[in-house]
Amino acid sequence: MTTSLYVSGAGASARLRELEITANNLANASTEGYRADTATFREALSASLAGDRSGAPLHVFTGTSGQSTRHHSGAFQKTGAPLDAAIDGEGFFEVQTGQGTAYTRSGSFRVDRNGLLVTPDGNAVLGESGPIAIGPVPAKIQSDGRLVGEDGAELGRISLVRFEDASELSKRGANLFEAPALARRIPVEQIQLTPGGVEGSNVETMKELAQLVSLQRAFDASIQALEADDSASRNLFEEVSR
Amino acid sequence: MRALFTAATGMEAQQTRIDAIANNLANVSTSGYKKQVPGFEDLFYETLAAPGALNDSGVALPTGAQVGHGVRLGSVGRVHTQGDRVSTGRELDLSIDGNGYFQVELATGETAFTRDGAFELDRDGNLVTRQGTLLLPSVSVPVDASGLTIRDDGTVTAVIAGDSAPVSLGQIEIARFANPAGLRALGSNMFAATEASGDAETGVPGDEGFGSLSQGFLESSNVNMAEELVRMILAQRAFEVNSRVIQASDEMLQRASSL
Repeated sequence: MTTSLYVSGAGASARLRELEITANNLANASTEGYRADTATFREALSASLAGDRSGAPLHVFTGTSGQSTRHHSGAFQKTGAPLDAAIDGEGFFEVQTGQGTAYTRSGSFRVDRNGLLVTPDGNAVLGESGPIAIGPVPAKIQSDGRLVGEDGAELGRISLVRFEDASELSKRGANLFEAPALARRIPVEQIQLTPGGVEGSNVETMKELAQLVSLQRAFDASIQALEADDSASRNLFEEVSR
Repeated sequence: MRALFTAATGMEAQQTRIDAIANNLANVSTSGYKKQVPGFEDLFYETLAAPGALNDSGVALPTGAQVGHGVRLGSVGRVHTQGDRVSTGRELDLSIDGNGYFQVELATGETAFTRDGAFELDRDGNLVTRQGTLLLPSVSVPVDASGLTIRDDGTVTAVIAGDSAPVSLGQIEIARFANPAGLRALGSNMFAATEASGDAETGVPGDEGFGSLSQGFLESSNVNMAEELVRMILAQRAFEVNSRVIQASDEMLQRASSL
């Protein structure tokens, strides 16, 4: 009986964890380049108290939880800005940050005072040979990743990077992803961008809302099981102590 | 409960979005206005288990456990695309076609920059903006001048009573920046240079990298009403959705605390 209490408790905790993930997805439902997370749970079997051979039922906890990021593209949002671009298909923009190289799908770029192509946070966008210097002339991003000036002169080229296993990426916040040191980075040869806009969030609001309702009901169910357990224990003690 | 605060950041973000949209729509007919587009980013993550870390049995975790904290405002960018040219026929109205800003001198002596080319003459005949700030380099028009012509390269000429040939009155120069999005808005259609925008580089209109002038035209705002209205509807729905999360978290907390 005590164990089933913990099983229900673990179930309720798992639903709370799911709530946090769903809340974060919905808060970021319109953040550029955001990718929705899904909670993942694994069963954790506990050995029966009487040992395996007695045939007593095993308790199955909701154990070790994590989350995986859904890496499908978000909708294109037109802004009209000449340095905005969304990636068609797979791949990430590479940016240089104070804590090493990071990756992003958010293609809203600017030029800083030194003429370097940067993200709104000031991180330099990397091309084949490092940060790209465009200078003070007005520039536009082309669909093949080239940056051209008003007269059509090529000022630089953005590079895109793909990962063999995108699930290795973790989120750093500020629309950035990090890759572990041993991750296989594959430079993208044929760059396809859609300039003049950015990729929106890939959060499917309807799905998240349905998830919200479902997890809330499941939480209620776990709590109810907890309460049933509790009242059964209480009845038992009352009976025994009479 | 973290979800409550996460949803609150979501609601705040949508509120900021609505504020920016409202400002854009309010300025839909302000000449030289550049629309604001807020950019958001997800907040830092608390890592409960890093991806690749070893679990109890020594096997690397394929996915970690990270908890997000919601969203925050990353930047409010101004999109500096060209607004439509509107013909006014007024000889003191100028629009810049392409890159560049008019330079004006504020009462404090500082230089400010603007795309609003609706000029007037002050009592000394100097070209000034509607707020009375002096255009730099200053151009003075004599009282008896007529047929004021400002060419696309900024040269100002007029015919003085008594002469038949037009006389040159001056040259208007415009300024450009490495990062116009980094200019600080001062209000009254004026911007100030900042660390982020870089220093102003002046030049003659029509030169490489500088736009040309059109007399008798004004540049309208670059706000696209349909776009703003669509964004407004989306922001409103996203706001509602986040408030739904707060409701759900509240109900769950209530349920748990009534155990």
